Amino acid sequence: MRALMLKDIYVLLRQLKLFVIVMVIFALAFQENAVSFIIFYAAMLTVSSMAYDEQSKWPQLAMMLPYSIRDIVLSKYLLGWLMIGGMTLLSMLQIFIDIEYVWVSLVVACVAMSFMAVILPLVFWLGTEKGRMLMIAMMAAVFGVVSAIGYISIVYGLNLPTDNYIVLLIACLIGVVLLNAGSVMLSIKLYKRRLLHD
Amino acid sequence: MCVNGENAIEVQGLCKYYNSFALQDVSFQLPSGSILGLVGENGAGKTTLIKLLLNAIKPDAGRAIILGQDNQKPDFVQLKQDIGVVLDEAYFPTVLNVKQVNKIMQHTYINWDKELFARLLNQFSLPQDKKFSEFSRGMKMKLAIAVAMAHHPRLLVLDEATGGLDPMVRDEILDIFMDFTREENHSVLLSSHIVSDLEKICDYVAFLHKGRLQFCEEKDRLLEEYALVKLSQTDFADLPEEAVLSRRTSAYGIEALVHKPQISDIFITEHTSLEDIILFMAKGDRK
Repeated sequence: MRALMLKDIYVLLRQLKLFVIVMVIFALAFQENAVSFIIFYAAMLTVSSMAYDEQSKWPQLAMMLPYSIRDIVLSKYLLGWLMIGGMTLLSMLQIFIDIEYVWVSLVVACVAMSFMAVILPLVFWLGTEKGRMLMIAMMAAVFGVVSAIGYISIVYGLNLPTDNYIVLLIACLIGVVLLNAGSVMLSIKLYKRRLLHD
Repeated sequence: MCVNGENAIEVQGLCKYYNSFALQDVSFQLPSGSILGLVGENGAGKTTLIKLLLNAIKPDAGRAIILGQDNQKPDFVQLKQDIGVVLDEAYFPTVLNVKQVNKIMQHTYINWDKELFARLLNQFSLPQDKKFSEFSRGMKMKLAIAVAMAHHPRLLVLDEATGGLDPMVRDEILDIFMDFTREENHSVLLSSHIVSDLEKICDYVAFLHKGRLQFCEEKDRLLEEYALVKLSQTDFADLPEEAVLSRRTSAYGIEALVHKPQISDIFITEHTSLEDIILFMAKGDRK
């Protein structure tokens, strides 16, 4: 597992450097949306690492090496969780601007992890090319729904029950953990089917 | 069929069916301490067979025992610590460099030997800092071979590992493979198009044609017992039918690959090479 994680980090190093530059520009240009962008981008890095793998045919070699399919799948999730976690911590630095950013960061992190839990089984099953197309469609749908909720809450003057932020967050976390656990199991099953019975 | 005491690989009735191709009923053994050359044209099923052996794909029938262990058992993945693999390309992400590959493999193989890896890199004149994407095909293959050998495997599985290498390097690498099998429990399965490579280093040769194993024999026995005869149509009729393995008919007569022990000494036979045998088996008329 450590070997696979290390390989992914080496592969993503260059992209991470680029990411930092984009992140700074984005934070300066669209301050309010920067948090969501940064965390969602972190979730997408897992799919990028899988695209690099496919490009170099690494999955074919990995199947010959002493890595189990479970380890291969789990390492991708772990990478995603670490990236999202890291970016969430980074985005929390905005606490110095407004304390509400902490809650926003945590909620967005939960949404990003849920998004990853939905998209990764599709990528393991269909490959990154088709999986990425689905991911873009899903991202558009997620942002559409979020924008719609935001618009409705502004028009009708609805607000999140700010007193219950902690309850809301705990509920979100439980949901995310369950969704990710199910997603890992599904990904292992789909990846096995794709590779072993190809 | 190759048969011996202890085997590094034992395959029985292995089958894999695809829509446009089928690998059918493959059975052979690779005795420990030996090199088995797997030869066959493109699409004959060599890579499919290697994937089946390493449990990278599931068979539709049959079984494979690798280093004494059923490859369908869950702990087979641990046994891969004792197997070195080189595929037809290196398949490492192109952004990696040699140092990074070394670090990744340290965490992959329990017996990873940094010093041996460094020695092999030095022997192959591979730069440490250059990115993999800047490597030539030959350099990539040499790196893959160094990775496959630097964890002290007991079995090397090489799929077209010498393809794309110049003759000097190929010769050097073949010597390394031969040295590797000096240890009694070290074995090599080498799939290659280059029959001269197989003829040079293999103890056994297996020939795969259109998804079926045509033969798996000791190389010396093949070269000793198989021969070519050139006869007229009339003389050819005197040859025992069971001795004729394959034949080519032309306006000048018939050229046939025969099993020497089954024919009389009155027939004049010509020494045959491994390449002749394989070409006859693949292209000749075998009815």
